[in-house]
Amino acid sequence: MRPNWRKNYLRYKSYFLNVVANYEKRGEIKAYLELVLSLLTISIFSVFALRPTLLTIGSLIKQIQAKEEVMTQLDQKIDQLNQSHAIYNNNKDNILLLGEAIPANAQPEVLARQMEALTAKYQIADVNMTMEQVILKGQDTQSNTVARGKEVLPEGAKGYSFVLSLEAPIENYSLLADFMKDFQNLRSPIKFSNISLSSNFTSPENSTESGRITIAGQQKILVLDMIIKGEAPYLPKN
Amino acid sequence: MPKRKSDDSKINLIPQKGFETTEGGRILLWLLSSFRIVVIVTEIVVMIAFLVRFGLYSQNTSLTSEVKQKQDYISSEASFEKDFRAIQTKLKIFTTIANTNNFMSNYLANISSHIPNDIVLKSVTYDQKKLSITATSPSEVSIAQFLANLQSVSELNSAAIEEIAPDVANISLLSFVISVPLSSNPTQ
Repeated sequence: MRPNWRKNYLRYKSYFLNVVANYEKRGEIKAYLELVLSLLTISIFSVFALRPTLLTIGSLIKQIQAKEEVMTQLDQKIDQLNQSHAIYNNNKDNILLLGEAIPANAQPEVLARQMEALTAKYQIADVNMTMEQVILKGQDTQSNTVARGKEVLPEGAKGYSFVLSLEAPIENYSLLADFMKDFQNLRSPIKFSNISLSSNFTSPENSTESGRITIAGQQKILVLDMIIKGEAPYLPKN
Repeated sequence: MPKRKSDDSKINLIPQKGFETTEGGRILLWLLSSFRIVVIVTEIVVMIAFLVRFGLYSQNTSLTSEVKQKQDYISSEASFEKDFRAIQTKLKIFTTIANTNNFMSNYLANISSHIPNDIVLKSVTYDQKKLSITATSPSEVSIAQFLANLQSVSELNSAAIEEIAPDVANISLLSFVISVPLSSNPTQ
């Protein structure tokens, strides 16, 4: 006896072989077959071709949109960089001066030289200058000047404090005012924390100024004392 | 057995003749003509989708390379950008300090020009945004005049007597302290 599958195989084989013949002869078979094939084609296209393609297109569109956004930002940044180059080139000299005004490290000797030149210009002989602790090399462990009880410098800046004492004859009040004006306009900007101007009597040992008076048998001269406390900023490189 | 075979071949649910004229046959024919169009349209859509996909691939690739190129340019400018930012910070520091502090000489000039003749200044102190003027005067009238003069100065917001007492060195004189709060930067 033949196995069951072989019997069925032979039967269905004959059906399939007859399909072409029946397709030509019988209209209804032709119609149904074409309908089934059409549906099959549409399904195959939809599942294996259209769906993945549409998904890929969606993902590509998203990627392109994201990249276009990045491109816009990059273009903006490049434009700003070009503008920065133009500004830098147009202001090279001023930028050099700015670098001297706010150096990368504390430069107390430069400030001292500027003060020295200024006092020499106004012929103020009696000058005393004191610098507080200055970090010449390495990093300042205290990040904010508030911690040291000083005047707050603008954000990002560090500074070193100094005290400048001056003494001038009483009649040189306007001279000290002019000195102060020039002092404010030094190349290094100074954050003043305290400025005091007072009149005092002093011994006229080395001076020839007028205004000498005698107090308790001693010759005294009335002078103006000016004490300036301030902080010079610098901007360390990160 | 042969008899059964001939019986099987007779079973057919679809009418063999005049199928096209039946309702079902006409619907089927209409469906077939419609589906042919649907298949063609589907094929066209698939082709268009593929073309679009390739186009988008190409656009995406060119965008990627363009972004990379611009990123490289920006990376090459990183040190300049850092320097420029440092310059901007320095400028900000400089401007802040210059705008807030450069006024003492103006105050000194203002005080000296508004002081009555009989008043002698002892000290002028600027501390924590406050200006303190210590002076001696032989009369209250002069002190009041000095105060009024200071109050008339547009650069000074207000002035008030903080302290007034006989002078320690000379009791015929009055020692006083005038306090001027400083909140804005006067015009240079």
